[in-house]
Amino acid sequence: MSEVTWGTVIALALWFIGVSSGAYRLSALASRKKEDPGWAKVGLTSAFLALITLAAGMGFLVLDLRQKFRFWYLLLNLNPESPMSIGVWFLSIFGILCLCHLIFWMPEPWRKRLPLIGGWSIWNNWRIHGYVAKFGMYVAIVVAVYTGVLLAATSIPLWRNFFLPPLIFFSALACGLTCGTLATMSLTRKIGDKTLFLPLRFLQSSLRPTLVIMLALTGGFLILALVQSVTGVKTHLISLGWMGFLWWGGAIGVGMIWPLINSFRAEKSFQARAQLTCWITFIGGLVLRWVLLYAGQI
Amino acid sequence: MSREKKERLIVFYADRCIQCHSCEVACQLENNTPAGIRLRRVRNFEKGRFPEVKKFYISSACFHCNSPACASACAVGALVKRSDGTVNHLQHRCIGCGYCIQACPFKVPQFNPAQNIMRKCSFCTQRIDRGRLPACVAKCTTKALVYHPEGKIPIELQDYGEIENLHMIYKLVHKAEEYGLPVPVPLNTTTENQLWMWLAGLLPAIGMTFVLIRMAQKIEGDKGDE
Amino acid sequence: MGKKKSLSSEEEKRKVRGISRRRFLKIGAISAGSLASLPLMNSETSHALDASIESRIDREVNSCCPFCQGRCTTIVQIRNDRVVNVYGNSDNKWTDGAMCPKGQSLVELTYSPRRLLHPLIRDGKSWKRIPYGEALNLLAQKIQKIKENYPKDYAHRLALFTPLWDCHEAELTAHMTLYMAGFPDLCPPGDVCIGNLATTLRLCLGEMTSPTTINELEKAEYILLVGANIAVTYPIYVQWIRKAREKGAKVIYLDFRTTPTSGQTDEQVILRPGTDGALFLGMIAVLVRERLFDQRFVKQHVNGFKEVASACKEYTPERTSEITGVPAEKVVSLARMLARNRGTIIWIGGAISRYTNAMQTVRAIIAFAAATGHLAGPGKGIIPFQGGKPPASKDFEKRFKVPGLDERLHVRKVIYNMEQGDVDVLILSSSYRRYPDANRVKEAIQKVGFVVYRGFFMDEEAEMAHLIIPSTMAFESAGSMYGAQRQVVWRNKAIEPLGETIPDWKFYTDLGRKLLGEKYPTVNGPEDIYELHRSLTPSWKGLTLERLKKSPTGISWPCPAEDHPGTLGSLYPDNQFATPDKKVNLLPKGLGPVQWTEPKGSPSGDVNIRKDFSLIFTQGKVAEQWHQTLTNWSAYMGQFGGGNLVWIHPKTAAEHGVANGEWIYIETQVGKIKARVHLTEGILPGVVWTPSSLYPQSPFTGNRGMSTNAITPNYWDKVAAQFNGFGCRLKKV
Ligand SMILES: Nc1nc2c(c(=O)[nH]1)N[C@H]1C(S)=C(S)[C@@H](COP(=O)(O)OP(=O)(O)OC[C@H]3O[C@@H](n4cnc5c(=O)[nH]c(N)nc54)[C@H](O)[C@@H]3O)O[C@H]1N2
Ligand SMILES: Nc1nc2c(c(=O)[nH]1)N[C@H]1C(S)=C(S)[C@@H](COP(=O)(O)OP(=O)(O)OC[C@H]3O[C@@H](n4cnc5c(=O)[nH]c(N)nc54)[C@H](O)[C@@H]3O)O[C@H]1N2
Ligand code: SF4
Ligand code: SF4
Ligand code: SF4
Ligand code: SF4
Ligand code: SF4
Ligand SMILES: [Mo]
Repeated sequence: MSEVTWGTVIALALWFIGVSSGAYRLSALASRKKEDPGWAKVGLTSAFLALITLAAGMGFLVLDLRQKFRFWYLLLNLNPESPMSIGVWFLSIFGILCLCHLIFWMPEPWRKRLPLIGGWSIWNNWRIHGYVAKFGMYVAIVVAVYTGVLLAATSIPLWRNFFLPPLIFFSALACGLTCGTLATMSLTRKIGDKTLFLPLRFLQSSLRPTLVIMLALTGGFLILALVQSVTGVKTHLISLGWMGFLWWGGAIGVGMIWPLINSFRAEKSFQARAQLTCWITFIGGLVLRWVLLYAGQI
Repeated sequence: MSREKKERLIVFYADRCIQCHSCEVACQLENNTPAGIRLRRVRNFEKGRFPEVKKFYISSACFHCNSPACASACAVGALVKRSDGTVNHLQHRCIGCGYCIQACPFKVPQFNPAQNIMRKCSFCTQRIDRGRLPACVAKCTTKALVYHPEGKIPIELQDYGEIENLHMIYKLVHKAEEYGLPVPVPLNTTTENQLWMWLAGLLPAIGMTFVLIRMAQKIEGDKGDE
Repeated sequence: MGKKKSLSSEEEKRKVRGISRRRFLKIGAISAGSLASLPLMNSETSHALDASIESRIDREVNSCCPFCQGRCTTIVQIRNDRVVNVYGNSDNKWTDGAMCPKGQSLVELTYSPRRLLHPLIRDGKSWKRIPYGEALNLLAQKIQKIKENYPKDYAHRLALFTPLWDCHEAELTAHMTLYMAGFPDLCPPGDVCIGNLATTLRLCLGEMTSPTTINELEKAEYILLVGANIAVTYPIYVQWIRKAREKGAKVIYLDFRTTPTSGQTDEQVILRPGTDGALFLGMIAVLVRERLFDQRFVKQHVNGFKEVASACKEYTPERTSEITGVPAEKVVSLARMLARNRGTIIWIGGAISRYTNAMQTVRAIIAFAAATGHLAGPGKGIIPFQGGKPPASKDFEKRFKVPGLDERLHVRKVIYNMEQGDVDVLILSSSYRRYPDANRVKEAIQKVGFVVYRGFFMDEEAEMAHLIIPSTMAFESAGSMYGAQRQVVWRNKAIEPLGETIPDWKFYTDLGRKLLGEKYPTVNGPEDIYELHRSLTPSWKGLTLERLKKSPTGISWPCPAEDHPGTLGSLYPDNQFATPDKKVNLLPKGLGPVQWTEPKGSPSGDVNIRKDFSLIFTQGKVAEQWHQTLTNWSAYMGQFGGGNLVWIHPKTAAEHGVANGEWIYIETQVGKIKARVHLTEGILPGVVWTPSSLYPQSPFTGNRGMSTNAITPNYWDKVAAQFNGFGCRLKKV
């Protein structure tokens, strides 16, 4: 209502966690195709990305606590009724998986340099990597959905919307896919590099349904909010105030419709614009969360 | 609907309140909260036209819900429902995440910048456990706030919060909406909705993940064609 | 409905002993973790905040609120010699343990970082600390100097503006010292408080104090609140109104505003400010015409009723209605209603006493009560605000008045003398803003050669001073206090004075010693002064210290003997009034003819004023502020204020082209203050109202604003000043 309890820091935290889960999924998919050099690059980069964005996300979560040094109390308690508690436990498990997953992906020489664990032979076991990747995918799903449920299981009328958790999940997916690909592209410094052909093609074909579903969920979200005549929807989201501008122009226009249009282009043309498409989808995800957070609270 | 156990109640008789602010300051002194952080708050309203104008007031704090959304939300167990119906806040455990603020359907919890944690009314358990009155009740100038330690109250069911088994009951003169109270009395949506929210998120998410795996496989096939 | 798991009481018990198996692990882990992280945590926020104030107190001391005459006795909670909280004493039957926010603000005020804790002397533009002894010597020298320079006519060259003292002993010692030293000019707050009312009561009934007490309300059939905004000014007494209503009493409230009191009454009669006198005269006329008055009572116990009756003739219901704005039928029905019943109690608000026609009004009320026969007896009578002042102080004063001591000058004359440079020393123990046309008073004070301030904060008053000798606050000294129910209570000392603050009894006895040497009586503490006063006061004879200390309710005088329970209810139970002939005197000398006149400066009375200042200005108190200075230093109290908000009816606002929230100037004949429009349906159109308590130096925005007395024209009735009812206008900023 008057005071905003959760602000930009939480928006960043939710976004980074979402990105992390998406990136993990990308890297997990890649782990089945290690033999393809493009996928291999994507796999390693996004495994790395998953870990650091997760760290950033959890860092922002802790940063938002008024008692930052008590963050570990979260690990002394499990409240099955609290999405935050469930989420934190899953985040912790996810963190460990991310780390393992990254080590699996690491090239041998790098890995060797890791103290203690670097020499374990388990890292060369493809089967185990596969299991970790698979299991991690499901944990990643829970983690991404958690960032939506965290908002949805409150008394804030705007968030208390059944379309919110899936919307946030799909947005996290889009962000993770684009961010992982983008990072790989930037690191290889060869845009349109033929080696990335397959991952980019995958990006195009996966982004298309993801964005379509996101738009549909957004529509559902708005309709449900309007039907329930939630206060603030009209004033903040539907109307064209600065908040409405960010919502329609930023989160939906730039973050969903524009990349969707791009994804319908011819493959060549899409790949040429891949970097831009990634950027806008990725940033759009942040704007979406930011607007939802603030519009719910003011 | 009567309460099964002996549960603590505070009843607010709106017709007696004069907006003297005594309960608010009493609460602040007892809880050591700085100016501006009011765990109890008095609001005023005006309706009608001169000379038939009416001014009326409500003094409200945490409702000590039967099913407290704040306690459901708290990840560290800093909010505990006691068997006497009160919902306590263990300050030394609070990490100040603010989740209870989002969860509470009455917007009761608030951050206290002086302590860097959340604060909410604790029913003055430190006083009632010693047989004393809650601070706000003790200092209320008009007996608009009355403490019923045994949970037996001589009021009718239609009073705000009684049917829902809240532990702060409001005996009002005007309609509840006119006092800014949410009608109907809101439920603990954190617990009520959570399962459905998880399902709403997880089912499509798992479905989509399978689709993605398929897609990745198909794309590999493509390359083989090339 | 999802049932939240709750600890069973069994479990709770086990939890307390720390052996709940279910939680054992968790608790163990938490405590281990807590230990591990202790160095990481901010100590302010980590340890034992759960242990709230209540569980950390070392001792509790019986005390009493120094502010209003409700005199809530309290229990002060102390930890490490620091007051941490204060609760109402639940054995006090007047308050039933309640207390208002003002009394609570003392916990904050006592420890305010802005409090003055040491004597300071002016050093150019800044201040320098000096020891108390030196400060006292300096003051004594200045006073001796007056006597040397003006050996014959020094008496009026020193003045003291006295506050509503935090205890009776402060008041007594101030009088002792200054009287013995030959200075009579102690200017009491009565001059701006209820002086007009108290004087009229004394002239007509014999005692200046409250003729009855509030426990009588329950026996009354009607209760008439004449501008008595109880819910704001005496909130703890609202319970007594409720109890009376539950017993069937009907409460009627005269006020032009909808206040929190309105909701506690059965009916509100809205009348134009300053016209209550006319309403009562009009109602007397109805009683006379319809022969409804209590002829037996009037004949046996009242002098001058005939004259009053004939003077009232011109106040026909129509004329009364014209003056007051109350419909003529209402005047008639109200008069009938209040006459034909078992008992009516009239509760007179303080504001009534602050008009230039105040004494006329109060006399009209007394005459009306006399005419209905409801002046004395169970469930009958008049209750004024600020009652309870002991008449007996007079005997005490006499004992210390040196032979040939001049009569005290009225404060108007003292201020005039200051302007002429005829006052050399002023001991300032009040605000200057309590007087009308306060800016003029300020200028007058600036002409005084030596001003000593005995306050608590570096406020405007302090800045006008040459020497500051800060005073203790209530928790830091002991003393007795009298209340509106004529009750006397004792306040214990709860903590040692902070810094070098000095209680009044000590300051004045030290000063007395310095000035008079051995002639001045030895005083070892407030107890000595209390006993001295008691021994000189017949109606207090039974109020021994031991009795007081044991009584949370206080004992009401007259209490002539130690086994006397004290006197509640009517002061004149057998209709024997305290006048020389034991009758009510409606025509005492000095009150002038029986009539009603417009308040001075009222736009309704004076065409010239109406031309320029067509709105009626009023102001008053708010629940969370104590007068002009003290509570303004409390952040807690500041939460509730809105600064200079001025109540305006939307119709008035439309006529004057101002909108809600807009900043405007309120202008009167003597000045202007800036204020913000607060539109409300709860005020008579044509009238504006604003809080009087604001203070420009307050550190807290809610309390900050201009004092209304900056724009109050200097109008007085015979005793006290007027603060309401004059003309004003609104100007856009
Ligand atoms: N909160 C608080 N309480 C106090 C004090 C304080 O400073 N703060 N001070 C105490 C002291 S010392 C005193 S003397 C008393 C004084 O208390 P009062 O003097 O009675 O208080 P005011 O607020 O000045 O006025 C009370 C009411 O009188 C109404 N009024 C004004 N003029 C008229 C009129 O002509 N006719 C009628 N019928 N009503 C009118 C006003 O609208 C207002 O609601 O309060 C005591 N109680
Ligand atoms: N416009 C307007 N003016 C008013 C009123 C109003 O309603 N409107 N009300 C009038 C009324 S009813 C009254 S009673 C007066 C009150 O007016 P004041 O007498 O001025 O009242 P306070 O603000 O209580 O006291 C002023 C200062 O006196 C000092 N003081 C207080 N108590 C003590 C004490 O125990 N010992 C010492 N040494 N110093 C002390 C402190 O410095 C304090 O700040 O104001 C009157 N003036
Ligand atoms: S009102 Fe809010 S804070 Fe209080 S118990 Fe209910 S949910 Fe918790
Ligand atoms: S702010 Fe404190 S009490 Fe509220 S949910 Fe977070 S940890 Fe629990
Ligand atoms: S019960 Fe205690 S904590 Fe709750 S509102 Fe009253 S004073 Fe405050
Ligand atoms: S103390 Fe009592 S009368 Fe005063 S505001 Fe609070 S509830 Fe109302
Ligand atoms: S009602 Fe009067 S005596 Fe009681 S706490 Fe308030 S100011 Fe003090
Ligand atoms: Mo007063």
